[in-house]
Amino acid sequence: MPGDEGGAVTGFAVDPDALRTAVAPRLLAACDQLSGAAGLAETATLPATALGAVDAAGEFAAAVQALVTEHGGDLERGALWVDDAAEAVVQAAGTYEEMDREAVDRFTLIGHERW
Amino acid sequence: MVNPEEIYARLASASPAQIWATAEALATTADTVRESARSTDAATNAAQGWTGEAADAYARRVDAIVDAASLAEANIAAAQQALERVARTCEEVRQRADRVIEFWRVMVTMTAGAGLRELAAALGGELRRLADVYNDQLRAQAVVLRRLTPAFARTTATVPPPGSDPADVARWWTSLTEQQRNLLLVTEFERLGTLAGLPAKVLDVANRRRIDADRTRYAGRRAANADAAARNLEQAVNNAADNHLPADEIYVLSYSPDGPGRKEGTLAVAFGNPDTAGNVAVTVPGTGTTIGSDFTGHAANLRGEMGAEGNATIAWLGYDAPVWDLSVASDLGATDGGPRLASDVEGYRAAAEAAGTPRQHVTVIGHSYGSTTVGYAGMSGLDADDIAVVGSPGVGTSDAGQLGGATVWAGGNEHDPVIQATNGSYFTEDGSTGPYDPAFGARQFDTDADVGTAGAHSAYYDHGSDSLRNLARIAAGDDSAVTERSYLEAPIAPGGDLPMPGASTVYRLGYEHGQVVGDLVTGDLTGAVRDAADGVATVIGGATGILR
Repeated sequence: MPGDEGGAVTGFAVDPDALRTAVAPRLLAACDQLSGAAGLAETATLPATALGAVDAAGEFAAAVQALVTEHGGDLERGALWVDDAAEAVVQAAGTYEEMDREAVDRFTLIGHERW
Repeated sequence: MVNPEEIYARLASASPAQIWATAEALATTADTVRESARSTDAATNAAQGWTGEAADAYARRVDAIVDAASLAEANIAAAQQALERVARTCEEVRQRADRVIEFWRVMVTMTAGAGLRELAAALGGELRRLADVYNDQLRAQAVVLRRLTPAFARTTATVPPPGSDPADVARWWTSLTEQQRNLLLVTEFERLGTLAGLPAKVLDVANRRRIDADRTRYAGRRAANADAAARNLEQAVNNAADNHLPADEIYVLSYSPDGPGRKEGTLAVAFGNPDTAGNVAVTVPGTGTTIGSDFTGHAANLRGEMGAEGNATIAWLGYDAPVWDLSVASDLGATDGGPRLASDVEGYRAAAEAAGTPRQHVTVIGHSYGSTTVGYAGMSGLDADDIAVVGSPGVGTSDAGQLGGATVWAGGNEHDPVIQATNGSYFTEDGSTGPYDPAFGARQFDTDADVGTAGAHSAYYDHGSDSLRNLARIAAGDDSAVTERSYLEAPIAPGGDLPMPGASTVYRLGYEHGQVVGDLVTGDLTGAVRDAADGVATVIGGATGILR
């Protein structure tokens, strides 16, 4: 059961093809969007001169620069995280199918041995 | 006299349009982040029919992604609003300043003398007040921007810096949530892979990702080293199979595409989980070993001989092993590598302690020049219960007692050309006593007297050998089962510091005379060992021959 410390799996249901064709592509789209957002953030620069020749212009421009650099990198990090989830979904689909194929092979082998 | 035009010019040089454009770019960014959250939600909906533990784990991951993306969107939107406040204030200040300066420009043509000075002072004061309002807004919004914490990084937690104390690293990892650990493995595997003290399974995932990444992002030397590491891991699977060991119990504990010295890369591979094993043995290879060498076979054979249950072995190439050139005559690789080895072993112990494993029995085994590195590790705080050396040209000290309190074992095949050439004391600080000398204080264990010169230096981990059996007993802490070497099979002549004919004395003599050492190291020791490997000649014959 989920959350059961004993770890016994009582059952599951899955459509591997749906994981591969419906779930993973949406996650990959989310990954691309986050990556695109990261690129957009990093274009949002503001030179101190655009704020006029006042005392606090440099301080504010530096804060903007730090923000776009830090948060742009953060969004890239998020994109990697989503990409990894998409990869894990595709891998899970393959694992489910492989498990099914192996079971078929075993049963087929039993048939040959008996007959 | 105050000049209002100067103050105005400073305010008028601002470009509200540019500030608005930056705010607009952030708005677009926030919109795109919102779209990504929607796509993630759509993925969740598409997975509605998926149930079971994997589906639950997936749902937790996706929830965390959506949470982080929502926070990221809110952060970017907050930054956008801060920019907009600044832009609005800038415009308002500019409008008021325009009115002030227009008034001044009219009045300046109509006023003179003291009246003009008073007016200039009054209007200048008003412009300064406007500038203060604008400055205050800029400073206030800078504070807002600085307070925005990156969303995904907040979930990620901060990774300790390289070189952190392994025990601190182990405690830090234990303190994280499962979600934080999973995210770190995705986003920070570069840094995780280099931290001593993390669980073997974590290091394995991180370092395999690093190897894969390095193979594609680098060219030249680094890519070649990453490729070599990947090939070596494939070979490790074969070595495990040769010893009936499971392939899924191979862990990459450390890797670098650079490494010290000649930047030939480093790699450490465990057979069995060193965090949970009661006995852990580290094998350190010697001269000529590179990241491309099949050096994991020693550790695989050793674990195979020990038995998998409760035992783990680690093939450690964390130092710059010399190649068969002049560098083999230098202890530089060993003196640099020794502390690295000691530090890594400290990391293995810290990870095991964090896993709740009782204090382990740790053995560190050095082969050939690797024994010299082990010796310097012993003198650099190596926390080992046992140290074993095989085919050793010396361990940096003439006293086993200086190797950190470990029980020291020495194994040497009777016809090992490296021992004979160096007397086992070439890399001893005072050149006197090596590990095969009774005065050294090592326990001599039985190896294989009948191996000929050709294979004697490379046979210590061979399947079925006395040497491997005894190394396994030492590594398993079964000291009483270790068989002793007969004095008749000693690799050096009785009498300790009396060398075999010619060998050590000749080698050292050569070392002290540049031209001759070149011949000895490249033309004698190198050639002799290679010849020996081919069963053609012996080092001693080669050495004396060169000097004639």
